[in-house]
Amino acid sequence: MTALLEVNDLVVRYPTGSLFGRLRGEVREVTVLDGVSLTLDQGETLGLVGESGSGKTTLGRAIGGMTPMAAGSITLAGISATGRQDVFWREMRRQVGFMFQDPMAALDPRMRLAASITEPLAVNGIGRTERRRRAGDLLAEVGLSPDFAERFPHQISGGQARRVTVARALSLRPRLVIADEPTAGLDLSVQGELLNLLNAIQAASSVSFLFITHNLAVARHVTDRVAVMYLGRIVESARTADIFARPGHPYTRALLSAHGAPGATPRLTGEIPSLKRRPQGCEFHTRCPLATDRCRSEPPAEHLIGPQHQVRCHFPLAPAGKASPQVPPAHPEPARSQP
Amino acid sequence: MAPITDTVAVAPPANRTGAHPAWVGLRRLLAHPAGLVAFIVVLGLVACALFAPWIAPYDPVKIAPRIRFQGPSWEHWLGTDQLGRDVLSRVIYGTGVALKVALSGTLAALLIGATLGIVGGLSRGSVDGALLLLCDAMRSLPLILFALAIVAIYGPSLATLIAIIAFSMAPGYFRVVRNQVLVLRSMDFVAASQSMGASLPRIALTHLVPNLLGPIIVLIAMDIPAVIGIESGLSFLGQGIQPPDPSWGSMLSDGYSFIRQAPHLAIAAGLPVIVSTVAFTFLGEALRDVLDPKSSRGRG
Repeated sequence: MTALLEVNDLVVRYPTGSLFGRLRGEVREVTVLDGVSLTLDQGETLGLVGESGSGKTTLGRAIGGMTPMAAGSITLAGISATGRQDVFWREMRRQVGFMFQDPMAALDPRMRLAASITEPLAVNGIGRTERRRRAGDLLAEVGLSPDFAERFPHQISGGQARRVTVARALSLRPRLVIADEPTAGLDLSVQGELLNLLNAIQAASSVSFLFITHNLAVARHVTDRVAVMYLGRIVESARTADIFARPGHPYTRALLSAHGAPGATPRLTGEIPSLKRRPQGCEFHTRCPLATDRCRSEPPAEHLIGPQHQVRCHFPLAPAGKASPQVPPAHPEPARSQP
Repeated sequence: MAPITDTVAVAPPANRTGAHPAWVGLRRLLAHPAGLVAFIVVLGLVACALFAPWIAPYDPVKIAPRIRFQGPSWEHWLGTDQLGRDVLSRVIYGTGVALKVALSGTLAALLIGATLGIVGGLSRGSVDGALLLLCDAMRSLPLILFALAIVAIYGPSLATLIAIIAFSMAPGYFRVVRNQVLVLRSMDFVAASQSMGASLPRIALTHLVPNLLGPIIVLIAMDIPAVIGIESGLSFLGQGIQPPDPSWGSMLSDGYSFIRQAPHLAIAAGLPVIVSTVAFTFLGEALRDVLDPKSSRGRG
């Protein structure tokens, strides 16, 4: 399998501060993503997890070209963003479907659902009759009846709106779907149905998913690999089973314990530091139970502690011989609804 | 989190499904008490304007010196003026003039203001800054002085009047549309459209304009009274509609001159100004209530 998507040292900065602040020479921009690299294979699901403000959504938006990148490169199916920009983005927009965090906000309140679903087709110059036909097919694909085509967004429920955005993301038959918190705001049974739907779609079309979530249970159910983000960096990435069984980074362990996994280590205290004042050395040292003087001064390099298991920490915990907790069911086994 | 299992099963009432928002809006406007009354009065005004030649009992410009300054009678319901012309007929024909000026002036202002507002809101940066500056400069001009200067240069005529109204109202539309565009472009559905590779003109036509229509309709209804006021004011000053064409403002001016001999003249010319202003204002407020997305959310 060759990588479908490759992101190398991606940096995203946002401008910040008032005019007066700038005149006084204060920080002009914050670095939201600081050298993020990841790869994603065809048909694979990669989960991006982390606290709010860790840069998950920004990474998704940067890959979709909605946020300009300051440095780094993105390669999709062999075409790179550093080469011919316009060719790349045209290809990117055809190959990547987006699901936004808030499905209601992502649907134009004055547009009928059929028009919303087929908007990507319209943008790519596909005619009206063809669009009408495809709208019906896409609705059926996400389990909605054809009469939804003529409805408006305020006439459907949150779960149905989510399905509509799935249909829209799939309308161009993309090779990658970036799903930003696809289960947010749904009750558990609807979450389960949606995850089953996404699994079924992947099984049928071998589309890749970049799955942005803070819900570890969801990540465990649907992803093949997980990347943990903290303060705009990926601090650990591994196959899903490995990361839940043998978390290497203290932050990952803290996240898992916060989620109630067995063998709890000290829970996370304090807040994510401000992006404007990134801590020296390892950025997690302000909250890390294991922090030493070395962590406070020297940024850690990436260590390989297992197959495909990378950790950015001076003291990666790799209890290789330790009996691991029961390995969670991995994708592509269909997800059951959560207990 | 308690599981709510009926989320998927519950569908909106079938009869509402697929009804176009415009029809839903009209139905709700007619259910709104003030909206219903205002709507009927406005319809009446429009009918007066369109069918003036059939409704008006006399020729509005025919002079009859023998029956000057007559009070209301069975022959002349609102009496006659200083030249013996039938006041009712002049009021009815004046409706047409007032609405013609109000509608074409407002639409011209809307066209200018909304186009620049979309351009400014989408481009931001220096283009937007220049437009804002221009708009503020326009708004800082005292309206009557500006209007008198324009009339002094180009002479009083219907076209001058409409141009004055268009240029003085356009900055208001620019402001509203620009701010609305700034709000809309930060919404996810616009970001979604951009992520599909949609061009800015395409986004403007498919997403911005439909979502701007509601606030714009309200703004138009609220502005028409102001425009009627401008037309009456300029005509009152003798700089608007020129005699012998009937206009509420010039009739008011005549009535003012003869207020001791024939008070019915001023009353007959002032009442339609008041009635139309109040009716359009109430219509605008009712439309604002009806088109408010928060009120439509629940009932769809």
